[in-house]
Amino acid sequence: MSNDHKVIGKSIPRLDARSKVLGEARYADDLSLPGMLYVKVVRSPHPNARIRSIDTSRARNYPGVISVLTAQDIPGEKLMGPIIKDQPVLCGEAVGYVGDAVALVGAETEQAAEEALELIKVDYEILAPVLDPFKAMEPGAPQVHSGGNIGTHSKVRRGDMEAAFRDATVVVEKRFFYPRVEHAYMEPEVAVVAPDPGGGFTVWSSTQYAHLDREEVSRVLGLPQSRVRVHQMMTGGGFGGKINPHAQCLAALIAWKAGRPAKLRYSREESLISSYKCHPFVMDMKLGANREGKLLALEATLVGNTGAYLLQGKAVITKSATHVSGPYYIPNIKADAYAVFTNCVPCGAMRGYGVPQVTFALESLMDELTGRLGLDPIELRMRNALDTTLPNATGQVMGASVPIKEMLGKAKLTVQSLKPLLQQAPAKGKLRAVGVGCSTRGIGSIRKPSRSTAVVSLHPDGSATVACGHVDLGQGSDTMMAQVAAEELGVDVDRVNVVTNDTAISPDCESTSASRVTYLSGNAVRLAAAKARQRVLEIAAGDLGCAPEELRLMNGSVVYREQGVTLAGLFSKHTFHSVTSVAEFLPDTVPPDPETGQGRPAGTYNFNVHVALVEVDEGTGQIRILRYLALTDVGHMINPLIVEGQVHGGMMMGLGSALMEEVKVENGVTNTSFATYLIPTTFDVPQELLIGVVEEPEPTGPFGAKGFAEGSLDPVGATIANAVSKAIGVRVTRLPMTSERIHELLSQR
Amino acid sequence: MSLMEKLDGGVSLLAGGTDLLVAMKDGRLRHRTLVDIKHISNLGAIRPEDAGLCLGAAVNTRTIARSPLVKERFPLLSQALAVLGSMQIGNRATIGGNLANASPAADSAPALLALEASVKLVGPQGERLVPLENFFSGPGKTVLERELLTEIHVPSAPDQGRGVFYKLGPRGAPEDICIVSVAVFAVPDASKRIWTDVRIALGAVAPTPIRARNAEKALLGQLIEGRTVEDAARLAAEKDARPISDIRGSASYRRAMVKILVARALEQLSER
Amino acid sequence: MNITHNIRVIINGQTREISVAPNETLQDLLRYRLGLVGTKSGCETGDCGACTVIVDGKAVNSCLVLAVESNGSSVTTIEGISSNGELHPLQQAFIDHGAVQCGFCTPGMILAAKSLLDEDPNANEKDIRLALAGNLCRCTGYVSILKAVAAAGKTLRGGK
Repeated sequence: MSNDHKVIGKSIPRLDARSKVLGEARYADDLSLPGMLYVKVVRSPHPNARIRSIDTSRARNYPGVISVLTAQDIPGEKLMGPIIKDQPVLCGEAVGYVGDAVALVGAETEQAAEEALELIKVDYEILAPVLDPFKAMEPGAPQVHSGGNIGTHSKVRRGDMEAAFRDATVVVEKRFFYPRVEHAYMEPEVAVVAPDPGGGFTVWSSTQYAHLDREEVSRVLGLPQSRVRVHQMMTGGGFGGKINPHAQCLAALIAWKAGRPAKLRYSREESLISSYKCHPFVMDMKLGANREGKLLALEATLVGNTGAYLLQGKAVITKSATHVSGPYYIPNIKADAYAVFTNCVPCGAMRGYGVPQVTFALESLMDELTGRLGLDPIELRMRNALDTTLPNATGQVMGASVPIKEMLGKAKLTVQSLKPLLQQAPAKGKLRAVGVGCSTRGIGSIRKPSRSTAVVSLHPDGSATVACGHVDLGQGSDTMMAQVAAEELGVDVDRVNVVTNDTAISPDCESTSASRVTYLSGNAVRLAAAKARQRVLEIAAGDLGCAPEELRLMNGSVVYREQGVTLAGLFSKHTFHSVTSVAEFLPDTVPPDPETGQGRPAGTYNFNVHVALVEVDEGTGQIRILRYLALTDVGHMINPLIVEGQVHGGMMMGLGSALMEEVKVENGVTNTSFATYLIPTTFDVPQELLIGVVEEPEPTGPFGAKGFAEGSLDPVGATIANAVSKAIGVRVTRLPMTSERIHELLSQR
Repeated sequence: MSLMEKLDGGVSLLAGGTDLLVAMKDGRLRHRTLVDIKHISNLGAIRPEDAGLCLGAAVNTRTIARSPLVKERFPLLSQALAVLGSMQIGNRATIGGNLANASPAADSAPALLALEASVKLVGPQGERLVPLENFFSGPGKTVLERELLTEIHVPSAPDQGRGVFYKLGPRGAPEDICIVSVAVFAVPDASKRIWTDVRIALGAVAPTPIRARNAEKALLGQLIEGRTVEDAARLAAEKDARPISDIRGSASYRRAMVKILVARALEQLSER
Repeated sequence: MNITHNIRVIINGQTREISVAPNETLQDLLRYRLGLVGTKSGCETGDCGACTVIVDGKAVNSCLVLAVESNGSSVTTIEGISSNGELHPLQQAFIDHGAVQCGFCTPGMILAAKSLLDEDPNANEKDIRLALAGNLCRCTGYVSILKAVAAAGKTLRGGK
């Protein structure tokens, strides 16, 4: 690995930062088109009901109303979804949760649209809902869909679990609860759609996957995908929550019907009620070890409440099952994970994708084991940590870039350094303790192999255009892609324009999710740039009568023995306008077997080790985090500033689900604003939040890099829960650890 | 005041708007006439009044919290208003609006109750001064009858008196709506051995912000010591508080927190 | 209701006379009528701070201010704090410290910080946390934002 990179490894501020601090960056709601209509959605107030009839006549005649639409008006497909297409675009026969879309109004003003909503009379036959996943699995439960309430069942089978438990000296077992969490991107869903003169449609949206917008809008309108063009506008966060282009499809329906541009922006309340969430899990987990603390067996039953529709639920459940053993070698595993349909708000992808849930359960049991074995928490983890030769739960042996033991070593030093703070007598009524948590995750989709494609055009002035379909949601991937291309092409980063946000230009690379962009698109961009460079060098070598290896590309010139040939001259001579190359990257993976979960599901894995020093108020149950260390493994850093930002953000998001966040459902979502759905503020930032980056290059990654953006969230709940459990002397089994819950546990002592 | 005669169900008074606009937007209030009262003269001043204070109802809470005069005379009030909401809310929310909105969790109320403030209500029939304790009549309800709350009078307090405010929120951020809030103002005798005057006020544990009279009685004239503190805290939780369960906390947790926080406040005030 | 009010308001130093509807918020006026879309709309209930602007020197949630209330006031939005391409020290610090990710909270965050530093140039870390507690950010975990504001404070005090 060459260390004399010019731009790789440099903390280059994100390329769009200037436009954002100036307020010049344009988000979808900032767009206004001549003749644009405003769209509002009638949503179900019932969790389970049949629709007898919908009377739209009064709304149609309301002043300012141009179009009113129900399911029967949809020209194309009536169901949509990111992976499983099971959510009605508009409900025609029945509604499945409070917030399900039933009818649409398009009007000249937002106010007219809003007022007309109330004139639409939907006659519902109200049915008993099923909200609890265990009740939903009982015989005789209301059926959310005709195929039964178990939406998916993922399995892992390794070794002989029963025999292994018989051999175990120590067995620990508990039930754990992980909350339903909201992404809480600061920008609510918004889409603007306009008909094109040629019969197609253009979409401007806030999205994590512009090409899915294209696919779904074209399916719903019954058009070829080529007739829909999507511009991803600056997107105000996604975190997994903007991979279902519902608002886009609804706006498109009005634009189609009215033949005019249409905008739909969700209110915050609408977003909180109707958008899909992170799966809440109930997890029964049992872990056995021998006297030396070697893990022998793991049994887990994971039940995820997927709500009314499956969307990405199947993939989330599979990810949780395949990650059930964390970063440890456990020879015997039996895991069953279920996505269960209920009449709750749907759940789908969210940063972590099933891994924070199982990490919380497993890491809590690891700490339970340390108590029973009299072992130090880090020592127990060290004895069982994966290395380059040991298989994970899917049987995959990683072969390289498995720095978990090195990270545990660093964590141990941190724990030692915290001793004085721990021993220092805290104020009266305050309890202090240190907790540790570890995690791992496969990078990219594990349910199927997934390819990334990039097109790199090198221009005669030495600048370059990179087209690749992984949109930037704010995490900074466009900047990192520019760094990758710039490094290969020998130009400054600001000479590279990365276009990821236009489906007519950028190839489909699947969604910006699963921590995949750096690894997959980083590779595709690097390969395409290298190919363009190679082509140019070969042409120049032909002219100069030397080998391409003797040449370098630098700032728009081919350099040969300190002499330069400009690209402009070279291109002109050889009739090129630009030199364009395409490359793909497809990691070498095998999806998990449906019966055993065995395979080689990810191209690379990311590891995390976190340490927290907490202080619990014995009277109120309030938790303060005094010190926090997040150790992360990134392979090789492309941009340290961006790595830091991702780790800070992931950690604080994890802190939210650990301490305060939970979407509550009583028929429908009850926390309908940011006054009742609470996310961390500046007040919640730990007094000291340290980041440690471990670099052990991934041989198959671009410049040794791999994905890491979700990993910084994965172990946070577990780490804080382990610290709190130790401080209060009672095992925390349910997140979030609100002061009331901790107070309750304290009173159980 | 001719305006006040026209006040009926269709008119709302707009001060800072931080509660009113939210209610208008989510449909709880509609098609009303709004009367902006921020700029009525005399409503916008903080004035010393003997050794006490007169607060114009339209003064925003952050201005009061940061006022040197308030900090010097009633640090308890300053402390409470500093965490009434985010900076942006504090820059708009008025002290009169926070009281007239009559949320059981209003952050300004416990401190003002403990300081035995009164509110001046002005209507077509004239004006009256109502002790704050008698001002609230239920969640979102007050004794206002086609009247305008114009001033808050905070009477002078004994020099030896000290106050403490605790706000227990789900996050600990100033904009949290509290689970429980407690304000205590206590005056010891010259020897600092006996409570001569104790006022305990509680927020978010009853239909209105309340004084914990049972707890106060148990302390008056008693020795300043752990046992009396414990008794008073227990009475506040069991006799004075009448909490309900909501999205922020259960009734039983609220009761338990009243006990903890009242005890803490009294202990802090017992320190010599 | 078709009543309108004529207001006179100074926006980013420029006096404007505008006719506004009685229920129109300052946020809607700025964003949808005047095209000052740098002011963001994140919740419309005063809970997120994305719509923060400075009115007469004080940071406020523009979603909770009626346009008519700003009559006679001076309003500063994110578009008004740089001059001729020269960034305000806060803007530069946000770039340098990686305090910008998705950017949706950024304008409100910068304006809240600006009003704090204008009011109290010596604001310390605790003051900064308190002043920015009403501005939610889901990307950065706030760490780099707190650092950026502290650094900008130092620059503004001439301590760079």
